[in-house]
Amino acid sequence: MSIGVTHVLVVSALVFGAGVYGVLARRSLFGVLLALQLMLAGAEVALVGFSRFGDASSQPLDGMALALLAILAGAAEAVVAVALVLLAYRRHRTVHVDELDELAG
Amino acid sequence: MYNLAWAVVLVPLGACVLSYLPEVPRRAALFCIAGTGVSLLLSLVLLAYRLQHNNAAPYQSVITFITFAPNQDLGGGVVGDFHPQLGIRVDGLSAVMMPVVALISMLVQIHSMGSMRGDAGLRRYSVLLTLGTFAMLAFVSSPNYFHLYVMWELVAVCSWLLMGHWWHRPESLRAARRAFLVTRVGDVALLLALVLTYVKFSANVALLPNTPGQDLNDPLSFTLLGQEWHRGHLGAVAGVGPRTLVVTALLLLVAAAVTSAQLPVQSWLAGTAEAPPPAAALIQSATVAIMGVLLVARAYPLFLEVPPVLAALAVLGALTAVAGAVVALTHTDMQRIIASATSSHLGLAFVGLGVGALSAGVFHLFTQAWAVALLVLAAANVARAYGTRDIRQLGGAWERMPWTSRAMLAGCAASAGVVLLSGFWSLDGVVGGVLRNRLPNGASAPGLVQGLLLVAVLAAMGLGALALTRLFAVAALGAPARRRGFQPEKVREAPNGMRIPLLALAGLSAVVGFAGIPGIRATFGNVIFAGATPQHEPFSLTALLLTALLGTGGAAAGWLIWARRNPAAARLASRVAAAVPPGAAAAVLEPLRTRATELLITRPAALPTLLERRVLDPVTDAVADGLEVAATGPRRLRTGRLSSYLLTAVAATALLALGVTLAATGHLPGVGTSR
Repeated sequence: MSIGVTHVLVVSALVFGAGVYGVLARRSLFGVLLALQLMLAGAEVALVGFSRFGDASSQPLDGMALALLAILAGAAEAVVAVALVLLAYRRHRTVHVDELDELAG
Repeated sequence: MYNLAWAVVLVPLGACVLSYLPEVPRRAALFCIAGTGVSLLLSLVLLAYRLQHNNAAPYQSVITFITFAPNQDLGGGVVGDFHPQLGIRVDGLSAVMMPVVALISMLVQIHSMGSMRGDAGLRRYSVLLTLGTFAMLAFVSSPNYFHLYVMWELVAVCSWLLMGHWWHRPESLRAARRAFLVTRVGDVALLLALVLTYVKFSANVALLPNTPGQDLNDPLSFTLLGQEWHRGHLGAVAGVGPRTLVVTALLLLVAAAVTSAQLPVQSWLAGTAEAPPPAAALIQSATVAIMGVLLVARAYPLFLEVPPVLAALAVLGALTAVAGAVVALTHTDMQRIIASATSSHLGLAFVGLGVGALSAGVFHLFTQAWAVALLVLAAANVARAYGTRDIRQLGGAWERMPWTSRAMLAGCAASAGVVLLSGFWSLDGVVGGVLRNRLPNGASAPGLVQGLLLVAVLAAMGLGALALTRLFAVAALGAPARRRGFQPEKVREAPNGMRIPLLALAGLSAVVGFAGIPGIRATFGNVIFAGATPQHEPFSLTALLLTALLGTGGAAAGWLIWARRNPAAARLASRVAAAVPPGAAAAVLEPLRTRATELLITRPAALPTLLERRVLDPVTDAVADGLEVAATGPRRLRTGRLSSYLLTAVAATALLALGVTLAATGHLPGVGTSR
């Protein structure tokens, strides 16, 4: 059995799905952040897979470059997000998602 | 050369804008003064140039403000080729009035540097003064009624803002609001007159041969409309009869009378007492108050076609003159006395215009401008030193404030018409006009009206002279009343900056009258006249003697009563006062005036408030309540929990992805199959 684009996409979907579940289910803000990174990783796997099995002769590096860009963006986002979580902690003395309900109508 | 007028008008505007550059408000005020000064110099050059050939046709330079496409339906059945124009016009009237406006404004601004020192809104104040000056300069040099109307509004707005400059004082706000509302009535009348004129005459004006240098005729040009009105009077314009001209003239009359503080709404001018005094001086002498007279002078070709309206204008002016003089005689507030006297003198200017003496009417406006500005500023200096405007509490300024009080004396004497001072020559012109009673086109008012006018003008002159002498004698002579916490020995002359403008104005108000000595060629009547050539108004000895008798006599009588406290004169005065029920004039006139203002202006102005309370507020409340009720359900959706929001976001994204996939694969009917 040879590995095709379908296999890569299944892995990507599984990772992404795990991320979505984590985001919705975790109660700690740090857990939510980790799960978010997981979602991002799923998308990056898909990008690399398309790059590997796509029309490599004409556009060899496009998908790779895009994946790298996504990783960089994810890292920057993580920095800002952790800072925000820290601020939220200083203000409310908790990182528990269910207790941060200031926006309730 | 005449294009200098553009600079005269625009330099103050430029100074206004540039005065936001300096950091210090005081320096910004200096900027404004410099701008007005440059404008003054240029306007003097322009006047000198114009005087060399004052019979030449007016010079005009216009630019098209906006163009509506030809034959576009403007609504209301008016198919128009509307292209209103802005520009300048240099003729006798504008060349004479521009230096007046610029000079008075500059002196007022110099005075403000002293009297408004340390005021928190100094920058706003000086910018408004200069903006008002720009608007007024543009008003007097307007080439057509469109430009005139725009500037008319701008001047009114500036004066409203200036009157409300001390917005934290309720009385100041009330006065500003009242003045604004009252002058709005005049604006509406003016606008209606212009719309009527445009609807009736624009088609005809467009057919006239083009003015040199223009490919389209200005639809509201003074020159062209002057010709058209005459042709309309002769019946040569389709759809225009005597009624059109009468209605237009009446509307203009309302606009002019309201703005120039004539009966029955003259009390708005007294509200300037609550404005910063220099602004009050500018409003009374060189901007809003004189706009009405200038409007009639501009529209004179129209008024000449309808002599009855002109007669009505004269009667209205005469009644206001008497009423203003009587009110000035009874008031005790310095600034209100001066405002009433101003209203009275504007009435006399209207009398001059109404009996066909255009140049005499404008000349009276011209001579009074200096005296009024002087009186308001001098009264401001006195009030500042004494801390009150009530003349009963004042006194002793003659020794303690020598310069201010002598300038005040000059102003009172010049305005009252003491022999040889400027008011004398212009009052003589008005009296002469009433005696002659002949319009330039030969018509004249009925004898009864002429008699009424003559009596009213003479009475107004005598009473006005009496009132101004009383103002000076009671306020500046004698000893101040004792008040708690007031030390008369601490009263000092005003600083230089507030004294020099007074001296300049005093000199001017004494001598400007020589420009109108009757019977001499090359005087005021030679520069400002109705029609194409000046009419030489014949010298009238009767008028001269009557003016000398009433003006000087009134002043002398006032001097005997209040300054010398001559027992015989005082007894006579008290006997006259006893013959008239005590305080009758004030008791009757004041409530009448207030009542009229209330009925005509304040009440109708309350209607919008009523509408707001009864209709708009309930509707708005109902809408708000409805929204509140409708929002209670959806509010539950806002849990404030991150996870529920994320779930919504994920679900929405999933739905969107599903939709996009279906559409891309062609499973969604109607979408994605268009290729």
